[in-house]
Amino acid sequence: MSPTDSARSAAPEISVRQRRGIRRTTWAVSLLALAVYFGYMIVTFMHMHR
Amino acid sequence: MTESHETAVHAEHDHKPHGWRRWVFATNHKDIGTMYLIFSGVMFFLGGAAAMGIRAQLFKSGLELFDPAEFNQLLTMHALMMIFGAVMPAWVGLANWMIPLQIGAPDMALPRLNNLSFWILPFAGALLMSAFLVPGGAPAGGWTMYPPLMEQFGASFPMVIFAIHLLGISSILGAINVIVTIMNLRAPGMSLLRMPLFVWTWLITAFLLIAVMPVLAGAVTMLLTDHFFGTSFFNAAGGGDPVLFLHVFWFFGHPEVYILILPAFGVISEIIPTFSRKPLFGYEAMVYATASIAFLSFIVWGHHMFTVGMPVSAQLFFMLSTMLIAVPTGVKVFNWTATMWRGSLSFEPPMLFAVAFLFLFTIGGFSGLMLALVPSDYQYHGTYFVVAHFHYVLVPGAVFAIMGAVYYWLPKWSGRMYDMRLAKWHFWLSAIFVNVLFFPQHFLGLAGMPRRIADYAPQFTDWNMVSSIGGFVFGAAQLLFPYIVWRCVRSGKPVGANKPWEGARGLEWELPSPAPYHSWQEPPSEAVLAHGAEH
Ligand code: HEM
Ligand SMILES: [Cu+2]
Repeated sequence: MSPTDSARSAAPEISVRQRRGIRRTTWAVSLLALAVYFGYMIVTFMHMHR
Repeated sequence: MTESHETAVHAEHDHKPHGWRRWVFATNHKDIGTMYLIFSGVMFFLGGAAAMGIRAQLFKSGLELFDPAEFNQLLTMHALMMIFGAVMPAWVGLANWMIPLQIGAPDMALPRLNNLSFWILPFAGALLMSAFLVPGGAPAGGWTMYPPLMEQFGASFPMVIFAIHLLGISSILGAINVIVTIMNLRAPGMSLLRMPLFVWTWLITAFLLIAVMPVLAGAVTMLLTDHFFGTSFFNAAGGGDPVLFLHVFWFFGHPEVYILILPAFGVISEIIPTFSRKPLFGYEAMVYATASIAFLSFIVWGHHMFTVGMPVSAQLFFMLSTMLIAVPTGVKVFNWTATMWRGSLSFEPPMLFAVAFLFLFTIGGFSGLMLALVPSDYQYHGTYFVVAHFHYVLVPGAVFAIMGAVYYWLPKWSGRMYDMRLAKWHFWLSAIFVNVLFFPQHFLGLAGMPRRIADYAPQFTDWNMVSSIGGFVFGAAQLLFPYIVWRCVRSGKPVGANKPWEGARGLEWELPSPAPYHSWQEPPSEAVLAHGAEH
């Protein structure tokens, strides 16, 4: 499958502005998920060493 | 996604890949949605088969079919398959199908990520199921996986943990995709407060997923390192605390139950207005109620642990915060009822499932309130009363909403109508026998029958027999569902240009049925948006 195939079904009419928004939101949400993961590990770890 | 892909995409708009490549390399939200729904259906019947085994064993007292170890494996796997394999993927499948259609977007924002989140699932599911085949059998400590019990199982222990990691990653990726899509690809003019409620509830659900799936991943990772790498997070001998696991698990677990039910609230909020031929009563209140429920779901986890031992002040806090959830939930039930009030009602299968949801989910809500009362929970905890409670919210709650959603949108997906008479049979058999199955479990619990037991004292036999008969008929009735869907897709009567439900509002109904392979290549105009507006 060529990249074009997936890009085609992936929304040909997406504007550059929207693409930028997609990139930013993806980063933000992914970092949020990672922060939650490590945040809880750290909180638990601290609890363990009390 | 880089800019370079933007060229050359305008040719051949209706190009549709053929054969196995269409599915393995799928990036089309409809194809991926379909695969999710099929996966979910398969897991529903596997989990259902386990449930039939459980009910057969409990038909009368005595160890008739399985020894206790086998029984506990069946029980644990039933729950894991139903929650992670059947209900969650069904919601993601519906999100894939409906969110782009409902917000006027051409596809999900991250189609290749979408492919990955789906294709993780069959492998995770296979890994989970193969736990039955290894020495020592599947885990048998219940889906809550409490240590140290959970650590006493054999080779399947790390397999199931890995499967849970995979399932969790899949849901997180799916949630990221939903958030990014809704935030960036709404049609011009569709402000947040014009979004359909299914989109709203899914947006909120996606944030819940992002917030708690990593917590589950952390919890099971700590189980793993305790077991294999000598840490002592939950091991009292090493200075850890098994109760800590309960806190971490239920901090995930309670929001998780809202992950299973919030999209159901969305579906019900779509179906009831259509078949009442009235706009939804209190749209904004519905949005705020959903958000409040999501917020509160983070501060109630202690209600699963009242009997573990905690300060009275903590018990009071968790009791009151739990009861507070009744307020936004009450707002919802009120608004659904008010939508039907003086509406021009008709009872096609989606509406039947929605009305049954309204009654039966509320029963589950009420037993939840009873369980939230600390003194009464000392009596109910760990009994069949709890089993009755969560099955009322999950089966005639989440599962009925999923079936209602399929009956509602199937004509949109396939362009064909299903056999209405058979679907009504499916509904009535389900709605009657789900009560025969689960209502007596309240009595059993109040009389003191513990949950998660392979055998019971003979005085519990009568209601268990009733419950098992209900279970067998309910289970058999579900076989109608794939048959009805299959027959519809194969040879149902084409719905033609007309909307199958004349009361339906929303952008998805502005498209032809079946929805074209690439829909909303051009965002809908303001006029179309206004015409399709739900409120
Ligand atoms: C055909 C429908 C179903 C039947 C007959 C059924 C039956 C049962 C039974 C008998 C138990 C054992 C209770 C105990 O001994 O403690 C159980 C447990 C459970 N079921 Fe179901 N069930 C059904 C559908 C579902 C669905 C759709 C879900 C989730 C969406 C679900 C989630 C659970 C959970 C979470 C448990 C608790 C497992 C544990 O104790 O770890 N069930 N079910
Ligand atoms: Cu809870």
